[in-house]
Amino acid sequence: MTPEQRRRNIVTGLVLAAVVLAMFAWGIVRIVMASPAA
Amino acid sequence: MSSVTVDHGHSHGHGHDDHDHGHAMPHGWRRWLFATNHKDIGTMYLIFSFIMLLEGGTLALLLRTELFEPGLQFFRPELFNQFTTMHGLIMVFGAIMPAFVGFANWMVPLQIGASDMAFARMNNFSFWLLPAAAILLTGSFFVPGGATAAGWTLYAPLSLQMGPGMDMAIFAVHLMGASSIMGAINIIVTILNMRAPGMTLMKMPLFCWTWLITAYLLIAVMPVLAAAITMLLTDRHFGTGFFNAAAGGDPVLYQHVFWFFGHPEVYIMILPAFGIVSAIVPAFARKRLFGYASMVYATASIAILSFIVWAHHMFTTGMPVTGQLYFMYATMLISIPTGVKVFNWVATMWRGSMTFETPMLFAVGFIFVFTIGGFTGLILSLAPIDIQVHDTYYVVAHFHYVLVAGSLFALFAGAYYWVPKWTGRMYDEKLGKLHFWSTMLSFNVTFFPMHFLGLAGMPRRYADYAAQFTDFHQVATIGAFWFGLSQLLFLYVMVKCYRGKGEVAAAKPWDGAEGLEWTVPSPAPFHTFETPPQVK
Repeated sequence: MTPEQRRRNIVTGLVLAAVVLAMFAWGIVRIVMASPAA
Repeated sequence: MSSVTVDHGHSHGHGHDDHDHGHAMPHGWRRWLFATNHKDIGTMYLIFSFIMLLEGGTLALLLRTELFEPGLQFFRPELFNQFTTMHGLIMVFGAIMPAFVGFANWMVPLQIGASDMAFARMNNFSFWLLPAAAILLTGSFFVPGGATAAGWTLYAPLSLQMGPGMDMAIFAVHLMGASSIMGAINIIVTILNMRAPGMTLMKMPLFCWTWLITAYLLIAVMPVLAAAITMLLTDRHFGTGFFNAAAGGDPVLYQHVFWFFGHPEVYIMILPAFGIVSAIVPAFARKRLFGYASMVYATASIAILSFIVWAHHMFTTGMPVTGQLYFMYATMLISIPTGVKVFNWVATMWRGSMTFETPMLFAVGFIFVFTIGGFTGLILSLAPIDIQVHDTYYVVAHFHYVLVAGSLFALFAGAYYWVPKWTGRMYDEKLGKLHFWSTMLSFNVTFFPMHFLGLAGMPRRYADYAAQFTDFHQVATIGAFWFGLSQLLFLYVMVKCYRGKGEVAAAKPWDGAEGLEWTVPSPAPFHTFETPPQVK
């Protein structure tokens, strides 16, 4: 693996990890907003 | 895909195998505990998933034993429900999903000409989370109150009421979800960044395409499941009331969020199977795959549609007729890209020079029997019918036609197809064929009668039943034991290959097979494609 390839892998991985966190947050927001208890 | 050719000019394809001596291959337990090699991790995934298949299968046989006769013979209903729940959780999260990740680990780098997965250490972590989750799940049988009995969907309010076994299941699903997310990120990054020069996306083998799309599904929906079960946990222990009606919450909300994960999950378990079948059918029909581009677009269409159909699992929870109509029509739309795929497989075989070695038998068997599961899915998508057969054995029959005859048959097909590459040995063709026919027949003996049971009103997840259901239940139980025993044959055939018994496999044992994986020797050396191949 070249250093350039490693750099691109890390950037892509971080972008995808951000997507994961966003989906997790979206799931929680969706439940909290829809819950009458909130 | 079939236009892939390799330029051997620089190194006779695998001159780089000499690197095996350069990087010392770790030995003993360190090789496995600290594994970063995609092939070793793939092997561990495959072995783990087969162990879980046996565990989940044993639970299924316990269920079928109790159901052989009406009345309660062997297990209390509470324990029966624990078996049902754990059978589902173990098969979905422990057997089918990790098996496909194992295939991805082994085959994706080999098929795109990469030296390994993009994040080799994260790959190790993804795998080693799984045994921890399996221990949590299995161990939950032994805590007070036993394992969770809420069904694999962990629906509230039942899941709010159970003992510590439920918490263990929640943590296990968290761990398996984290493992899947890391696996998915790894696969996406590997495919996007590490393809060999000349391997454009539209030249990629379909197995890589289907896994790329599956991985996107995984990172989109596993966090949503994690959110839902985290809130179950806070409802159980930290005083929240998201799903608790007595506290002003709404249990149906859990169902919506769960199925926003759950329906794409169905496709997570079937799209890689489509990829495997799309590799095998052309190889044994000795023709190019018919409609490569349409296969890619159909896979993407199925994935996108999977996000907008979730409430078809909830037709009986009470929703406006307009809602029912929307989810009904949206669900029916999925049959179009699926039909494109079935058409393309049949068109690939049309006037091909077909032979029926075991991988092809399983692939053709998949097309036949999975399509039956697809059709019953279409029937279930009709809200007026679904309301009648909701939570009956008709649904059980449907999803076993999709998950066993779909996912599992494709996994068997793939295992027979690639085991020469994994082990360097050909499997025993006679035993392979015996395994296929035994599996195919026993599968149908087990699950076909369940359609009749469901239509006659037999509800799922019950330990007891009215006497008129006895005959079909007895047929199903006999079929289930036959099916279970048939899988020991598979174990024997595979272990024989791994132990180096049997005919030595050539680098490309299938004359119609195409792709980079067949350009490396069999068994594939520890390091492959350290110098990327040139794809024309």
